[in-house]
Amino acid sequence: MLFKLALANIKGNRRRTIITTALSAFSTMLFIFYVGFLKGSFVKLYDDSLQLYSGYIQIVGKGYVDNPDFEHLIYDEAKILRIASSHPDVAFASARFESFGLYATSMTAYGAQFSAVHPQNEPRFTKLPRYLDKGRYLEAHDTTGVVIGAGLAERLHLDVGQSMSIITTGVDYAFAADNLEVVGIIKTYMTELDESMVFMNKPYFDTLMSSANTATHIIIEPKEHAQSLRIAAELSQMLKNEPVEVREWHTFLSDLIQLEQVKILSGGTIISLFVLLIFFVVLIYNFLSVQARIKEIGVMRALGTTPFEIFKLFLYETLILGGSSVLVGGAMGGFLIYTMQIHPLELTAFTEMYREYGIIEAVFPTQFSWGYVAIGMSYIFVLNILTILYPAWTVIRIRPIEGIHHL
Amino acid sequence: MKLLFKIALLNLWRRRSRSMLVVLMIGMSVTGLLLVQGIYAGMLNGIMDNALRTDTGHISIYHSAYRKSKLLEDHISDVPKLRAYLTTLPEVVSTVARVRHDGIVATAKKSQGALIIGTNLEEEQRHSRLQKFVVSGEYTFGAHHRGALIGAELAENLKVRVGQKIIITVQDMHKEINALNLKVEGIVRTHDVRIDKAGVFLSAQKLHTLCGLPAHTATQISVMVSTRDKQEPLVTAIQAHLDDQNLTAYHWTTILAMFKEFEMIEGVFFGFSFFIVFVVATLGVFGVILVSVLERVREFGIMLAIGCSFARVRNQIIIESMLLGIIGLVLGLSIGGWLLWHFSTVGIDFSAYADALQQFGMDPVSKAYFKAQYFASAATGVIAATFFAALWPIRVLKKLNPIQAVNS
Repeated sequence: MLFKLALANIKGNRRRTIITTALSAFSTMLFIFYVGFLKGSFVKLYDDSLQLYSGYIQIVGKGYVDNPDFEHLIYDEAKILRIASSHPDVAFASARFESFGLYATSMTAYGAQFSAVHPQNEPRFTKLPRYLDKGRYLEAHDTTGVVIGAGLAERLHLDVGQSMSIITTGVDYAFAADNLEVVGIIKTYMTELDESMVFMNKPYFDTLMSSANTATHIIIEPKEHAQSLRIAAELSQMLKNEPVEVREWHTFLSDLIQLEQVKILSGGTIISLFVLLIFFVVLIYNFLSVQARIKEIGVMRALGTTPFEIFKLFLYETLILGGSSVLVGGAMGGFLIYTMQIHPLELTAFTEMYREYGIIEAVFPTQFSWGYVAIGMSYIFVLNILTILYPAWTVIRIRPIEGIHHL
Repeated sequence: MKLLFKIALLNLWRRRSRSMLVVLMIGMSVTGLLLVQGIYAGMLNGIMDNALRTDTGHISIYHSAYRKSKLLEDHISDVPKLRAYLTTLPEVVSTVARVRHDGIVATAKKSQGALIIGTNLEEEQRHSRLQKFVVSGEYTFGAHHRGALIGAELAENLKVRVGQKIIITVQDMHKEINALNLKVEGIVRTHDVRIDKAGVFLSAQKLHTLCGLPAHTATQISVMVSTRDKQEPLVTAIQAHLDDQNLTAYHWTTILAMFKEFEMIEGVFFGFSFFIVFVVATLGVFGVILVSVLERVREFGIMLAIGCSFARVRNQIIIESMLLGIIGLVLGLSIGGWLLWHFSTVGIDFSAYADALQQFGMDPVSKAYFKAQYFASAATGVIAATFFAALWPIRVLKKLNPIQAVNS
């Protein structure tokens, strides 16, 4: 009977019903969208960063992270590769040698990092070859051919087909020098990469640097990226007797992870402000609706209805209104984040800004999850329940005679 | 009018609980808006200030070919004469002449690319307040200017501490490779990503000699100006003076285009927030005013029947609505204004997220931005919201016949 009464009251007060339902549905949708957008954009950020160059798991020489010098290299590259590749969840593994050199042309000289790679392996776990702007990517037969960043090419006034000299120090601490030919130029729009990277063929480079069977990094491509942590732990066990350490991406992207926490904090505060404001408005409408029925409540109390039953009546109204509004909001929010996962938001007007901070494309997908929808719906539903508590309390404590005589 | 005002107050007081709810809602939304705007603007200004002071300044002067070529040959000649001209301009607060060149910095165990900056420490302190960024050691180039200040992340990467030696290697104007041994006198954390990761400051004279540059030359003159309004016209005026010297003056937004995008995002974000708060607050006030009008239909009917004009009734409703808004506004501006002032002086400590913030050139302790415009826009929004919220209830009342209202 109370339930029927609640339904009748909802139908009878259309203005309150429409406004509170619309506001609750909107705030549910906003909350779900925020969570999905935040998660999606950061997952993309992580994947872009990791797939661009660093990879999800790295093996380095013991102590290399703190002392990145020639005393802490991987000295038996082939053995480590063999052990790492034997793990059933490792899709691929490849070695790199990173160091520093001075590059000189007839016009100028500039210091930059170089990375000696296996050209046939790199495209399997990095996206860098896709950012080729001119020329071609490295090939397995290349000797002195190199691929350089567009910023570095500009600094050295180089184009494809032109030459530069490199002076560096070999693993045996002897000077190493050679003439290199630019076969390709990469443009990622990330200053740090474009202005400071030179890629060369490791097998040839090993002859220059006396670094045969030696590497600074072994990059591991897991079969499932989401399992990186587990795979890294298992690789650590397999390699525990070797003078190497295994690092998983949460370690070398700790800055970005911290940034996500900052975003959750700041964005969460702003969203909470909106939701709280909406909560207040819903509270006001509930209050008005309840206050308008003081006389009716007085009569009901006089006829023997208990305060608890009055409270139940209001609660039923809120459950119906709140429940239906979060269902609508949940459906809208879920649909929105599902659609934007497939058709991401493109903010091309802000590309320059995002590139400055390492985000190549200003494209932001959301991430759909039933969990996000459930959290959003639950949060707003609970807030809806809370909005009836104060109004119900103000009415329930009035004596029946006072209620009947209320103006 | 006084009578209307009194009636409005009494009506609001008569239903104290719901009036208070609306006042709290408006107060809370105004407080929130002030804080969000002020804190966000403060963080953004912090990033921009760090970048401007240690890099471009509000205006940067370069040789016309330098930004593209980055060659030492494309330098600014007769720097003292140009700086003397700049100091005659009333808007100019400070200038500094720098030589910036790329090179390598090395220790016994490691080397990496470096951004080598030759400057005068006293002038740099006046211009960019560089001394405040010293986190270790002293703000000095040492005896005979044989020392250097290096970026904090560079120091970490090279594993050098104050007192240890570094070698910088550059290619000079004549294409010769020159090297210089320097002692690390201090380590700086400027929150400018490029300087912290690769910056080496040394005496301008030493860098001149190392690069083979003539005396009284520089690659950049950075200018700080007193206010934002005067910057663009000043760039035009300075450029007119430089036209015959093969030099170009740039406003910082040309060089640091991403900050303009930051400002666009800030504008879009605040516009969106303002709109949401405006709509929701209007809905809240609308509901209360409509109920207040509907429960006094008989009263209004009697007033109209005894000769009171509809305009007076309308004005009473508007005054009631706006009184709610103004009381809530005063509450919100007081609390929000106090909190904003507090955060603009003490700041908000985000040290727990320092690593992430440094990637964006943000200080770990961020000070909010206190601006009169925030108060004005909040006030305008609230007054507009409360005005619009009263219009529909007035329309409902206008449609009623006075006799019907009296008999209702």
